[in-house]
Amino acid sequence: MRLFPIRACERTGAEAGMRHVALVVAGVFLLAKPCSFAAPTDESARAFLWEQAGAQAAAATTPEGYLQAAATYNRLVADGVRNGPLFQNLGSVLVMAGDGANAAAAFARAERYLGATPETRQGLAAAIALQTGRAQADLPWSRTAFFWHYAFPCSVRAATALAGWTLFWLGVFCQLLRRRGAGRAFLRSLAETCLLTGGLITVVFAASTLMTLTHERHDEATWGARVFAASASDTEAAP
Amino acid sequence: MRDTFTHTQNLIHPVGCQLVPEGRIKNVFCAEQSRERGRPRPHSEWQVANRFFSAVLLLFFLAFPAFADVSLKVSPSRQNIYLGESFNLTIEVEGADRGLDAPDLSGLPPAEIQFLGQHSNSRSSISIINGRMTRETYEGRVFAYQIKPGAEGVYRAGPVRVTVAGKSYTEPGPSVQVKGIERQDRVIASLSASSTSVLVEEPFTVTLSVAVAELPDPYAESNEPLHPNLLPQLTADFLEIRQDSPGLKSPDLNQILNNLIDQSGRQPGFAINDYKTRDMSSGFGRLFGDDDPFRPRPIRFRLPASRVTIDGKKYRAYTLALEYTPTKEGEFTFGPLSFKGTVISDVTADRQAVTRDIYTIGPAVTVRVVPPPDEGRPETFIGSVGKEMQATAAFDTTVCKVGDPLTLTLEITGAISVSNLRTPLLSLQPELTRDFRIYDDNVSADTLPNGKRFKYRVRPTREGTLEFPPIRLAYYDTAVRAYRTVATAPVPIQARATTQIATADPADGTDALTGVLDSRTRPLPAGITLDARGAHPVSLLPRHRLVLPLLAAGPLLALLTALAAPFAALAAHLRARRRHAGALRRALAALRRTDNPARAAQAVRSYLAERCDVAGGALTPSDAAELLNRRGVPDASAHACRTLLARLDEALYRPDADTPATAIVSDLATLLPAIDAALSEKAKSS
Repeated sequence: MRLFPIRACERTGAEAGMRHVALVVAGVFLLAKPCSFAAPTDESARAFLWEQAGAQAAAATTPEGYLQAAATYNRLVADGVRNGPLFQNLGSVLVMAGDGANAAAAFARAERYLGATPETRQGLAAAIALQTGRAQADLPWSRTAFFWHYAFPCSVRAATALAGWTLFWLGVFCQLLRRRGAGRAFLRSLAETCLLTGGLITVVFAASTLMTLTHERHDEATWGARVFAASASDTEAAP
Repeated sequence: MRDTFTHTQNLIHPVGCQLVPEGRIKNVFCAEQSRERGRPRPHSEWQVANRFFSAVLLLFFLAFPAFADVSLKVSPSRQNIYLGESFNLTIEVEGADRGLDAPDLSGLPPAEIQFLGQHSNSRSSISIINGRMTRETYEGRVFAYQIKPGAEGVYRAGPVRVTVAGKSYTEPGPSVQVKGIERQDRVIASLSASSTSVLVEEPFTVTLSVAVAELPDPYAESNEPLHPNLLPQLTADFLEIRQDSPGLKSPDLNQILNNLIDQSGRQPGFAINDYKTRDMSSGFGRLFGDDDPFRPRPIRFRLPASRVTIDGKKYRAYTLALEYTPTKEGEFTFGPLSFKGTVISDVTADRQAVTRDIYTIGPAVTVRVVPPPDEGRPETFIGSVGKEMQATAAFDTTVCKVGDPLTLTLEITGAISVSNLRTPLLSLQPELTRDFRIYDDNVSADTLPNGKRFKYRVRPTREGTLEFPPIRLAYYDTAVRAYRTVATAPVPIQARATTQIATADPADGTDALTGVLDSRTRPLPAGITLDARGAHPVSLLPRHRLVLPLLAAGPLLALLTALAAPFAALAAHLRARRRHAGALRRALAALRRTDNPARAAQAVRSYLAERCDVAGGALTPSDAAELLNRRGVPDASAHACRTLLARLDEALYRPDADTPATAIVSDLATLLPAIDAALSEKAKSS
């Protein structure tokens, strides 16, 4: 007896997928909440710090000078400012200061906001080169394999996951309509397409977003403990 | 007994009716026909002849005005005017209203003639005195013209020629006295400017003066030569309250004229232009002796008066000074000023004022706004004129590196004109560009209360402690009527050496580096960005306003779709249950209320239909028994039901049969609860 079609639907293979996707997306946004509500501070003070750091970076000629600019940029980070240009500048001045590890971390955070841009790739390569001591450093293979994770900003990936989520439920809706008897063949095709495509997009991009949020959360928690150090090994010019 | 009916022509002729006599007669006949439509028509020959005779008489009577005499009446609105004024000429054609051509005014002396309009003046009246009807008809048409004579003297507004039905009528026309500007020295109206050639932003004063000859002694001491009740009219365009003329900053005329209004209403004053009162501001004293206290009256302006002597003759001079400031070069004309009105010219022995009408015009004055002279103009002239100009210059920092962009702020202040103050081109001064590069093409300017502020982008081109040289700026000093040059104080600044990034020279193959960074050692990151958005936090996720609805919309839609069918089934089930539960109660109630076989049978069949979910309107007794058997009702009850229904049908269709309907209904009332219990028990068990 088919009194409650949802039961019949739950018996299908979509049941497990729906629950899984729902849990993933809910987890994504629970994790995202602390990131999205930074404590508001004085905008003018931030603008001043931003300009001051830029001036210091422009005026710096020694690793110590770049380190001073990095410290100013880091004050903005400590003040709750998170955005791509900030971490990119921070990474750049850290590279100039000779701090390859922290520079790579800063560029990685910049990529979460900006996606992979020529500037971030160049900066990351410079940071890795600084760490490895090689003139030419290749980026990890995972960046090619999981290109969508690195190429797109986190906000774009989250929006894509949402689109997939909506598409998936559109498939569920078509499935329910099909069981009620109208336009069976077309609805079946549409429902299966939406379920498969939407579910795949949701899983892939939600997982990517979740991973980014997890990394960002970890970086936020440990960023204050990072110590920026200047290294004059390769940056000082010969007299 | 006398009854009089007077109609205008428009009332006699309905809309769309022709104005020719035939049309009028036609309408009369139409009216009579409509009135007599309800009565039997006369058919005797005498009556027909009588009607024809009456119609001919009426036709002659109505057409009579066409044979009346035509005359012209030409009258002017004013008998005396001044040259430049106009009067209205009214031409009234008496005795004709149709077939008129426009009056021929080609015989009038030279004048500006403007046609104002025409209208019919025709009217008719019917008087009935003791049953005797008398009709009076007047036809006429009025033409109005505005005439502005071109010369002084007696203006003969004629001959006026009108053609009526091919016949021409001529009227010589009235005479109007046109007074010219007579040579007199009793009133001298004049306009003067403090300077007829001024510079931009250099204020000048236009003074309006009306000098009226004083009364003879000893009356001059305590009396003015203006009559308090006869306001002379002053007319000048520049006294109109309107928006500022382009290129000229005008005084606040509204406030100035308001301050000149004579609130007492009894002092000698002037009427200016067309300024009139809009209410009863002239006071209640004017209510008496005035036919219309609400009509607008000229406002009484009291101009400041002073005693002056002109050509040895004493005058009372009324003046009004207005200060203007030009903002652009050009010519500005003020005036002319016309004075027209009555002044007191003398006093008789019995102390009566002798008045005299005066019309005079004060010639216009033109002020030219010219640029400063070309002679002696310095290259550093910035276009401004005025006095005591000052200039200051400052950098936004005292220490910089070579090539750093600096902001040079130049402030120019003083009692100078700002509208024509041009941006100084500093790069034209060679001493300024010796150690600095100045970007003249990207200068921002702000207007200060007494000057302007300019901001330049400047870069030092060499290191060291530099001095930005004095900036020389020239303006035209209106006090000394010459160009003057001012200079800012020198601005010191320390420019440090900058870092240079260089690579090895491939020409000589050496690895010697001249900079601080070696691009061969390792890759360098891209340059930093100065985008202001770097100071603002950005979320990693899209906006929550977008996220939450998208998250919830899909599951909610699917849930609603899934629950739609169960809810519908539940609703149908509840409806059936309610129908089943109430079927027995409704059937018993129906059986209690009736002993009619038809109604009783209907109640039983309705019960069976509701209880067993079938269409029961046509259940035969056998069908009912079979239905009950199928639903698990014992055979005895089903058989009893069939029997009782059959007896009811018999009682219904065979009234002659001895069938006790009351007993059947009573048996049914007993049987139905048993059937209902059996059905319920069966439903529970299933």
